Order: sequence, then structure tokens, then C-alpha cells
Amino acid sequence: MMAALALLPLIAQLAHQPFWLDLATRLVILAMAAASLNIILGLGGLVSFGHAAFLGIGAYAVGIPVHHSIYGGASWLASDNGLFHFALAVGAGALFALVTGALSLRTKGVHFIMITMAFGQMIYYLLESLETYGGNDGLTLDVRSALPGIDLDNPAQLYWLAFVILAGVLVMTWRLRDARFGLALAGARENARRMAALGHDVTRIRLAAYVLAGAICALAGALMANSTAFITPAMTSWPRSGELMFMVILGGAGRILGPVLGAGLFVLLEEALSSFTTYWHLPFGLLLILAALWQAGVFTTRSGGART
Amino acid sequence: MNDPLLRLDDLHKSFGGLKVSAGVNLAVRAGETHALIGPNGAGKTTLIAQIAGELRPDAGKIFLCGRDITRLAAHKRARLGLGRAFQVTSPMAGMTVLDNALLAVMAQMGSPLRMWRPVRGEAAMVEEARAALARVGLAEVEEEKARDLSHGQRRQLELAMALAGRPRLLLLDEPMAGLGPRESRDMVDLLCGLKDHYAILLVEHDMDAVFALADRISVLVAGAIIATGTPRQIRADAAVRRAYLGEEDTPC
Repeated sequence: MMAALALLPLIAQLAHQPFWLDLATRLVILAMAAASLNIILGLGGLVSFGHAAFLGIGAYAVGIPVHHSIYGGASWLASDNGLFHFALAVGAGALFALVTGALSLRTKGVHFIMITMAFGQMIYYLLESLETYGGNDGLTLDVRSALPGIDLDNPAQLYWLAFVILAGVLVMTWRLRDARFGLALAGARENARRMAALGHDVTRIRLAAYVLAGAICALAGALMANSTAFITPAMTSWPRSGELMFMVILGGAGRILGPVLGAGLFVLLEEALSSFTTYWHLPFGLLLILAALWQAGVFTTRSGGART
Repeated sequence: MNDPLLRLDDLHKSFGGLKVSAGVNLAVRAGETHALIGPNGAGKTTLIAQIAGELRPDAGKIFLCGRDITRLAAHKRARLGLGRAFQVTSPMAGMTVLDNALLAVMAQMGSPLRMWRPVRGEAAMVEEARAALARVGLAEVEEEKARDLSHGQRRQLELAMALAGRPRLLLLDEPMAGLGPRESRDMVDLLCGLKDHYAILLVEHDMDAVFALADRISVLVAGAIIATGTPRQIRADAAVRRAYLGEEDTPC
């Protein structure tokens, strides 16, 4: 699967179907966001319903500096330097995760779902209220992030960059799953009370996962901004968070390649269904319900802690 | 005399109008096996929860090795040497026996935030986890999922996990509960082998086991300790017989 994705730009070029590359770029970036959610939802068993907020944070970490670099103002922030954009995205994502995670992780179960969703919506309304950056209408990126040696205006190069970062994220997820951190996260997922009795600080372990996931997802958001060159607050709204959860669960929560599979299915379904009808959300929703009823996961075992 | 290992100083805890701990005083000395017995509803479970740090007492203090731990979180108490085996066996059911033991060792061995090196490659940790499993006789099943173990084996795993943390005090909550006669005997043998190496606070209903294992016994009735002494003294204690042993018709 990863090999097919790696060769996609060549295939798209040979087939004279540049649109395939757009689709694949979207897939890879969404897979990265889903892979970050997989760390907390799949490995940690924490149902976070506000993950799309990090996509928005990452996207605006590109959009806002670019806006100022062209239209002036806020000179300390104005920049078209991609390294600055990505660092800002990762830093802001991690910081937001640290603050909201420290608060959310004091709760459990449904309350955790609600509070993460509330923080997500908070970002949504915050971005919507920023009239300087287009408010509800969103913001067009007049230039893309400038990176040394890589031209993001070239769709194939943007794709390659996203693909390499996704591969890195997947390798990291795989390593950390089998390391102490993954074992501790799995232990907390299975029985948090027992973990505390053993001497583990469960909240700290989960918070570390939450911050890591937030930083990775924000990086995906920064790539998404460069891919679409247009960002809106809507990318942080709660249905977007639900879609990320859908990808993780459909691909098999906790499986390393699950998010790629889930994002692939999502992008293909979205594409196929929307070509039949503009009301594609309806059959899509029905499929979602079916997936949930089947305890989801095309290749998941019911234990939830499936190993690839 | 030295400070006792664990000391409860006038613990009070109420739920609404119900007093579950009404001034509990208790000391577990270094090296001793101290049994806590009492009829159902005497407040044993809530007392254990207060010692372990899952419940805050309303008043009174708890000392571990002379240090006041009354306001310390559960995981910090565990790191100070409080090893706990639960009444309702609750290992991480979906994980292997070895992973369970590794989690117990890991809690005492520094940061859980290492993200790159595989746990199974950390020889010192794996060795120690295996040693803990071998001590309770579970070496053969280390790759099985905890949920696939028999009830008795799960009890042994509980114990292995408590031991793997190198505790100074073992808090055993009804280790015999739900075991058949044979399994019970094995468990008593196992605990007999441990009692020379650890201080143990044993909460147990099985009087045969209590009298076989305990150096001293404390009797909890209606939230207060009504007697503490050697098994011989407890058997002879009139108040205890009235409150407790008489009902059980135990062959003493």
C-alpha cells in the first residue's frame, strides 16, 4: 500500500490524470492527521472528539504569517519561510494540546469526549471571529511556504514531502508502540486504576501522547494549507473531528497502517459518492453507522489492541 | 523502637451519615505479616482504599516508613514501596502476562516516556519481570493473554505484579477469594514463602489461611479496631469471639 502511494505521482503523470495527485495528497495529509489521532485513540484508548482543531491551528500557523508577509502588519509574525511555518505549527499544536490536555485528562469517558469537543469548537469560533484573517470566509494563501530545495508550488514535490513525513510518523508510531511508552499507554487503556497502583502516573503518560498527537496533527494542518492554498475555520469544526475518528476506527484503531487505510477509504468514498449525488453525506453517514454497528474496523480484532 | 513500616493514626472516613472508619489505629511492623479481619461491612475495603491512596480520609494520618503520605496520590505511594494486589483481580486483561509484569517493573524503573527502544530489548527489565513471574510459578505462560488465565493463575499474576515493584509493604486484599481448596493451599504455600522477605498487610476471610500466615492479627468491627494481637491472643479474646469468630463457627 505504501509502495503504491510512493509511486503515485509517476502513475498520475503517466496516466495524464493530475487530479489523482490532488486526491492522493489529500489522502496522505489526512492519513497523517489520522495517524496522530491513532496514538491517543488507538494506542491510548482515549476518545478525543476535537482533533480537527489541530489541523486548523497548523493551517493558520501558515496562513497568518503569509498574510502579514504580503499585506504588512505584525512584522514579528510575518514570514513566508516554511521552516518557520512548520515550527510554529508544531509549537502551537503542542502548546494547545498541553493546556487543553491537562484540563481534559482530568475527566473520563463521555466527559472527556465532550470537553475535547468543546475545546475544538472553541478554536473554531476563535478562528471565525478573526476578521483580519477572513473570519468565516477563510483565508487564501497568496504564496505557499518557502522551503530550501523544495518547491511547494509543484504538486508532485508537495506530495513527496507529505509522503515522507507520513512515513516518518508511521515509523515513529510503530517504534513507540513497542517501546516503554506504548506499553504504558496500552496499560492505561486497559486498566488505569491498576496502573496507578503499580506506580504509574497515568495522566502524565496520556498527556505526553496528547501533546505528541497535537503537534503531529498541526504539522498535517500546515501541509494541508499548502496543498489547498485556502483555509477556513470549517476545517476545525466537529464533523471534521468525527471524520478523523472514522478513519482511525475504520482502518483499525491501534494498527500502525490503519490510518492510511482509513484515510484511503474515506477519500475514495467521498469521491465516489459525491460523483453520484450532491447529497453524498447521506449514504456516507449510513456507511458510518454500519461500520460502528459492526464494531468497526475492516481488519480490527475486537480487543481493540490489535497488532499489525 | 523504630517507626513501624505503616502506621494509621486515628483515621476517620464517612459517607454521608455512614461512618466507615471511626478512628482506626493500626501499625504494621517491619518484617511482620499482619492480618486484618472483620465481618462484612466492617470497613476493610474502604480502609485499604485509604491506605492505597484511592480515598482521602476525612481526618487522621497515614505514615509509610515514618513519612506522612496522607495526601499523596496513589501512584506516588506505590513508588514509595506500597505494593498492592487487588481483591477483584484486575491485571490488564488484553495484554500478555509478561507485559503485565513489565509494566510493574517499569513503574519502579524510571521514565515510561521512552519512545524508540523496544521494551522487549531492555534486558534488565525483562529479566526482572521474568524473575517475578517465576517466583509465583507463571514462567510457562508468559506469552498468554492475562484474560486467558485461570482464576488462580490470575491471582498469582496479581501477586507477581505486586512483587515486581520491589515493595516494602505488600497490601494483599483477599488473595484467597474465589479459589478452590487446592488453589488456596498453593496460595498459602506461596505466601508462606514470601512472608520472610516482605512485610505484609493481609485482608482475608479465610480463617485457616489467616491463622496459618499471620504474626499478628487486628480485628476491625464497625470501623474501629477492637483488638490487635498474636493469633493465640485473638482466639482467646472474648470481645472478638462475640463480634466475629462466634458467627463463623471456625475450627480454632
